[in-house]
Amino acid sequence: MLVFGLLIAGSCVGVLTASARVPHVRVLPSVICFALAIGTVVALMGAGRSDAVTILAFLGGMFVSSSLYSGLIWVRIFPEGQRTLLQFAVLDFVNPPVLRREYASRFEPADSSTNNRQPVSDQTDVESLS
Amino acid sequence: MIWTLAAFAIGLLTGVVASDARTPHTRYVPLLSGFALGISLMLILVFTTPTNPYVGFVFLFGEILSSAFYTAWIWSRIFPEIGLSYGQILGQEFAHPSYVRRQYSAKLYEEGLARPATD
Repeated sequence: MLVFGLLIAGSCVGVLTASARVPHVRVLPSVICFALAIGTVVALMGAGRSDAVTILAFLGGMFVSSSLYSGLIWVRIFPEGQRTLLQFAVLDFVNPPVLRREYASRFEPADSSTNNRQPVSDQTDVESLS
Repeated sequence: MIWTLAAFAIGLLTGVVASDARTPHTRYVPLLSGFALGISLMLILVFTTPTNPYVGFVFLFGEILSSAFYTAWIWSRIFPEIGLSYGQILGQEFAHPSYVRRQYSAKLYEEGLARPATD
């Protein structure tokens, strides 16, 4: 019972983590997500439920749903990446900065050598850029 | 007292997460996840501690407060063309929230960035 509850809670935290870090990292929501995750684990230990199964259920649900939901967002907003949902998910688990860099390079002029962060990357949930 | 503060903190966290899922456009899965987490934390708080159940209103107060402040911050960061200061956008959040959203979608439409209504 507790394990299933923690699986669901972990999935919720994972979805929030993904949505706070894709397509670019937003600091305050990310910090809140990690605070929630750490707080849950600490609360479990404090309540004397620090057996491996419960904590692994929480962390497993978190990582799996975070990767899958990141993959879903990437597939939707970045079809130019030429990957399937699972490939996006695995890459987001292994090395997320690669995807962020690839995505950001789409919005910069080809000859710009400065890496100023463009505010346009906040409007990037658009399907088609003319 | 400590539990009232805890309820306020849970409300602040939920507000930031919900605002992040709602601005500039609504994404339902993170929104529902955030509310599910916040409300389940509040249920745990109410049912496992000897506190007054009316701390739910403190949770609501914190949620509205941090949601308005964080939403205004997002708007002033990604949409400076609207020409309102942070405080004015914050006022619009309470007075007329759809005003900034409509201006933003009009801008996206003019720039050819409008997206089909998926999501």
